[in-house]
Amino acid sequence: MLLQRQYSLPNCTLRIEGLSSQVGAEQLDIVTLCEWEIIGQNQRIKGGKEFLVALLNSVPAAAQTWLSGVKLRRSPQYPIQVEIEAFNQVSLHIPRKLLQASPEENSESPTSDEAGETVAVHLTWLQLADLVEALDQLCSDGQTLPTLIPTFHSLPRRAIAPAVPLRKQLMPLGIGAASLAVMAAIFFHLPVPERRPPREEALPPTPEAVTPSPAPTTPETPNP
Amino acid sequence: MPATIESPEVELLPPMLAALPDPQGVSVCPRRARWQLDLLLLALECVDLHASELMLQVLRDLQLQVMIPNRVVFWQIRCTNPFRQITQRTPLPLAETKALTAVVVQVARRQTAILRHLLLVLDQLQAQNLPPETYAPLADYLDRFRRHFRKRMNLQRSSLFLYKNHQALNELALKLLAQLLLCAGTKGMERLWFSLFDGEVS
Repeated sequence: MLLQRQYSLPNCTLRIEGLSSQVGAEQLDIVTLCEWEIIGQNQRIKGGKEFLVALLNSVPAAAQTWLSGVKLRRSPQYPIQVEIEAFNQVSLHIPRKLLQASPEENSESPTSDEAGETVAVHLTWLQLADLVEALDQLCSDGQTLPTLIPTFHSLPRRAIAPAVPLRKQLMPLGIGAASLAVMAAIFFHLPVPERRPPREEALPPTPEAVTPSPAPTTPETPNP
Repeated sequence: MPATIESPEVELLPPMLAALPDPQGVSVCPRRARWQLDLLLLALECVDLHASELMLQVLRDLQLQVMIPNRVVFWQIRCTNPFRQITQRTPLPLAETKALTAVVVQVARRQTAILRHLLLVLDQLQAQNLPPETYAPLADYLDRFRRHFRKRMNLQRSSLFLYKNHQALNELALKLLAQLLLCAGTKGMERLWFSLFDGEVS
């Protein structure tokens, strides 16, 4: 039995279509279509179950990272990459293989890169917050996918990049080493100071010079 | 001999806060979390002039008065923010951190309409390359935020030296608006709670 669920928010509509294995049941067992419509941009992005799973993995995680304000050591390996380019500008890079191609989508969406492997979708914070809210409502809805349980976890310490980047940490060391090298080069070219012998005429006569030499001693005559 | 019933001493948390698990390896609220929670509360106060009374009302509604009985204790807990001018060096227990998280989320939920409106106008102004001060309610919010921030935070700290700049404070205020909108969602409380410990758990 074909079932549809729709989560409507002012800037975003998320529509899930699926099949139920039991007749008369209210729950979806198989997701066949996930359609995300960005209302501010009149853009529709369609995909299957893989697209929905990739959205659920990447978008709430990016929202949490942005809420905490930490910088990640390396970008997470999600299929959909969420990048915060500048203030109020977020871009989602969705692999084309996750999407269902429709003829009107290619003609309508100006941001899709025909030659590339990914489709870039540019959002504002409001549109991103609405997408996060739609996904949250989907996860909390026990009537749609009851097996879908949202998981939250805090990022471990090793996943966070240091607040002061390594380049800035090494800058004082580099400046010190460079200044040492410059000073060493300068002192290398300076002449070595020569040791001058003391001028004898200027020196007062030493008492040893005026002392008379001891008188020659007469050799002792051997006694007969 | 009269019979007595001895109940074990367990910490009774309100059911709303039971959904927030204690993070592994963290016993008190970390430094960045205290700063973030105080900033979010500050932004809420700047969005709505009556927000401070609303916060106390939320504490009563959620039966969180066991942890935060009155406004003096609430102020003392907020003063555990290390960047305040009057700061307390006492640690903030996790139970009080959960209470603050619940207050932020509940007050943000009640102000969702204002938050959405301000962000929508901000988008429209940016599309026309106009500064945010062009719209009077947004200008009021930014002005209030700058005044409150400079009055309460210790700008002599090297970490806050950046915020002596007018533009940097404006950007912080606008960023907090969008963060509050994310907290106000369906799973906003869990998202805010787990984001407070990003980079703190082992």
